[in-house]
Amino acid sequence: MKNKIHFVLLAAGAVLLAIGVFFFGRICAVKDSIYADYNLSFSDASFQQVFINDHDEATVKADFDAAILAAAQSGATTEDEAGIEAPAEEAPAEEAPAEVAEPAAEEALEAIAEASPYDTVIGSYSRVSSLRTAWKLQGILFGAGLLLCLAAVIVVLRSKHLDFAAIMRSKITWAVIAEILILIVGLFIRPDFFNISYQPASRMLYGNLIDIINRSAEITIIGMGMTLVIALGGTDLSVGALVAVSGAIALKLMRWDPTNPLYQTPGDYSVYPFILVLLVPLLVCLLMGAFNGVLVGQLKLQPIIATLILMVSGRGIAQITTNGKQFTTMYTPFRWIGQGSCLFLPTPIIIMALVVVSVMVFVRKTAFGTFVESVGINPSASRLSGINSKVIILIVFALTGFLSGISGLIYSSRIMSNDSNNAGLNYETDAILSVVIGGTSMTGGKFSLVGTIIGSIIIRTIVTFVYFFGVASEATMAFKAMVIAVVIVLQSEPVRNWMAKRSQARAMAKGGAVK
Amino acid sequence: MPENLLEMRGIEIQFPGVKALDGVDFFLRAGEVHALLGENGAGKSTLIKCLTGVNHKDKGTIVFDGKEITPTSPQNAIEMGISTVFQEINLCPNLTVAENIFVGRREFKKKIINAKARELMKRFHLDIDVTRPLSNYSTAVQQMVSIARAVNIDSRILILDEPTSSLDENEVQLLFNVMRELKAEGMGIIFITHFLDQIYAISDRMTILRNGRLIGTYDIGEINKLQLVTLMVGKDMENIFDMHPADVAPDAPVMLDAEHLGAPGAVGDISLTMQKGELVGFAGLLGSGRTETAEMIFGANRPTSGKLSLKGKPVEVKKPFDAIMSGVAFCPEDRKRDGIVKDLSIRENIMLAVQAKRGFMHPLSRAEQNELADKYIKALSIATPDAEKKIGELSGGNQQKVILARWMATQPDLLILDEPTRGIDVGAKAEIQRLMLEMCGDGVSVIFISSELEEVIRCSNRIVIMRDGKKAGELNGPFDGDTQSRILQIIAEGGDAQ
Repeated sequence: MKNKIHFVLLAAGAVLLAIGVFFFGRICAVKDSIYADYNLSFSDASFQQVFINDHDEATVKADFDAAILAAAQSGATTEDEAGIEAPAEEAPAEEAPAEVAEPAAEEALEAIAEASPYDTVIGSYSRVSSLRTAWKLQGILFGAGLLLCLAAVIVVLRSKHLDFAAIMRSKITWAVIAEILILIVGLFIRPDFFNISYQPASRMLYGNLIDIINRSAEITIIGMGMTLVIALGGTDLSVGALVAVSGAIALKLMRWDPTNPLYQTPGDYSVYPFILVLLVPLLVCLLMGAFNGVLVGQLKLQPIIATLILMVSGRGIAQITTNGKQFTTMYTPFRWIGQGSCLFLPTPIIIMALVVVSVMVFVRKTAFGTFVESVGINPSASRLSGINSKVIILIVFALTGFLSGISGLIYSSRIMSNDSNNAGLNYETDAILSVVIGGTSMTGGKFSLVGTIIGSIIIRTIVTFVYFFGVASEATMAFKAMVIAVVIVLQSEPVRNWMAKRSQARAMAKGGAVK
Repeated sequence: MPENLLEMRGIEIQFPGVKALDGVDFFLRAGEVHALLGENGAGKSTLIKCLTGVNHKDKGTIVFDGKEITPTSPQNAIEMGISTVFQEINLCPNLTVAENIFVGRREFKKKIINAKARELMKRFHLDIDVTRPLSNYSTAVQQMVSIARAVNIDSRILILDEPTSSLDENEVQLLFNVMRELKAEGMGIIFITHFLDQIYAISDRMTILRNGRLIGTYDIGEINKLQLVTLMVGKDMENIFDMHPADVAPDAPVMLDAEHLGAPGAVGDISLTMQKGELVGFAGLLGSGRTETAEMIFGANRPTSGKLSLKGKPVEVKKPFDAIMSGVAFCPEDRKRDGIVKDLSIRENIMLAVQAKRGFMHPLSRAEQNELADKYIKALSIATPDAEKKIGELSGGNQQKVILARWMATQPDLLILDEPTRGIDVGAKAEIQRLMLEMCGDGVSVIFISSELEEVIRCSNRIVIMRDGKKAGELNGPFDGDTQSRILQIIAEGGDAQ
């Protein structure tokens, strides 16, 4: 029985996840029925406000009718835009979407005026309370299911094939444990913290878990480069400024029309081709990164000093690029980068996944990663082994610049604007923190890209917490610092060694008992 | 029979997976120099660490001066009167000599500590200004100061862990004088070293360990060097003093031709021709330009003048990579600083130079790397459970073998070995010499730099003697008993000639 415990845990976790998915389906079905009846979308927030908050039947009914009415009225205008944004795919389902949308909305308004939609759609209060239960259970089930699966993984790791003490000594283990602890706390405070729902209008999954990963994209992407920089024994302080530069250039290319110097266009098109809007900022950031690389590699400046130059001047360059203006745009393809959906997930997640996979393949499938580690641990021995550390340093800094550029595009697409002062603010500290939480030592050497991803997710989880639980915004930084302090203490060498020793002692005791 | 000052009985220490010490007895008398011997990993340092409270024993008793003790920390051991001087100097270079001796004590007044320090230095026959920073003085003096610091804490036992590895002959004699004086005062001295000659010069008794077990304690006259080495290594070492290079055919092709190589401030005007399969030894004092010459040929330091050709083709070596591409390999002198990449595995350390040669975009597959690592671990008998162990966790001798493997894997035509046998135990030393001679037999030309004249003379076809950054002489083999004095003569007289 003892050897099979991980199967039991895994099975239980899977069952819970499955039930969670079932409830997820139930909730979606109810939403769909509203959607189908009125051809209107109900925003996630108002849906939650009406059904999930503990109201009595009368309140729910009144709220629901009001919300439907509001959605129907605003829907009449928003559907027009949706017609441009979401073309052909939906066409088979509804015969002629663009033309039908408006009459349908008007029909809905009439229908609402005639009879209470609550009675027609929901029918009875018991259905509401079952929906409410489903909503609450979904998060708990998702959370518990995930945790049980993780427990199963830990049990498998503990089995004799692997050195459990070594795993306990690894910083990544502790980062994962910290993340799980934070999530468990979240689960206890708000059972629906884990909820995931589907928003048909944007064809995207919503929920805190998705949001955490989505919003961590910028830092994770920069973190990939920062990990390599730190593995070389340096730091790159300029990443945040490069984010601002990238956004400024992209917005300028979309809005800066020499023939129309007053920028009095609606901004729903791009002056230069979209491909240039993407490539030019990335190229500029790549070159700026290479500049850092030359300062560090060829001129042997200390990385902190070398990158300080661009950290300070980068925002100035961004200001000059746009003549100090803050452009906004409504160009739809650009919106897709930061706010669109791809494979039912927010696009930044997909971009992040692509970046992470490419960097990992580049670093681990070639000898690049080993060379970076070697230069980071012992530059002199590496040189005498024939490694050209200048080239390695140049590539690493240029890559970090390029990745900051990608982050800059995502960031400016999220706000559909450039903001030379606030774009990428404090990204350098967040990225460095992610790398450190991920177990890469600031002294350089061995690095872990997976660790950095976890580190960046931890940081974002904390921020999401702050928003979700309504921690006062003045206290945000203090709260973040507190949690990170705990994580870093968990990861400190004495604590890890203590835990490793304990588990080793237990393993030894067990081994003795078997003998 | 004098009474034992220290009695360690049945000491057992268990590390994860290995028994570091298995029932070791060690007795130290007052007023003796007791050599503690064994190969790396034999348990010498573990025994010392147990005595100084760094490691804690699982079984056994330690009786010091008639009382049973259990040292809990180095500080605790020092308070009991057991002080240690390590190979690496643990002093603050920016403090004065006097401050270094008294740091951490209750005495702060400059006048008093300076006076006391002066007195102490007099005892050590050192004529230095104790108010100047420590970094002004040579390594030898710094070593003496750390011994002075250890002795000054009213200690009864002094542990010297490889104190002579960075000292020259005169400095060693100075140290020995101090040791004799301390001995006469009734201090028990535990002496750890790899130099067999020094053991016979100063020790009264010796205790030999092998693989965590006690082999025995002997009086110094009881066994000779060969017996001692055999006991340490545990297998017959008749060959070690009997390894010689094969003769090089006079018509063998020229491998290296260096003409008037020079770099200002380092070396001037070095000319050297080497044939395929020839082993050329470099003799000379530290700082005589041996290492600098090697670095110029390898491109680690760029020569400002002269020409270099390899295999008959002129080459321009700007950086190590160029030299590697033309078939040169270089094992640097300072293994820790320039050789090993300590946090990488043995496999990664071995493949590093081959991979650098190929460029990182043409990686060796994991299977190829494993094959390479396993091949050399076996060929060089590197003692490790597997190729994934970090090189930093290996003993010095095994680290040296990994570095050698790194270069053997590049299949070089010219291999430069700078002090490859320094600081490693006698068994590993013999193996490295054997490998070196084997490679010569396979047609690799080797430049062998060493401070130990005995091995240079024994292993070389030809010896180049360096002095003050210049080539002072060249001797062709075969060598006889007079060679050593010839070399010393050239080293000494080279100055008169100029």
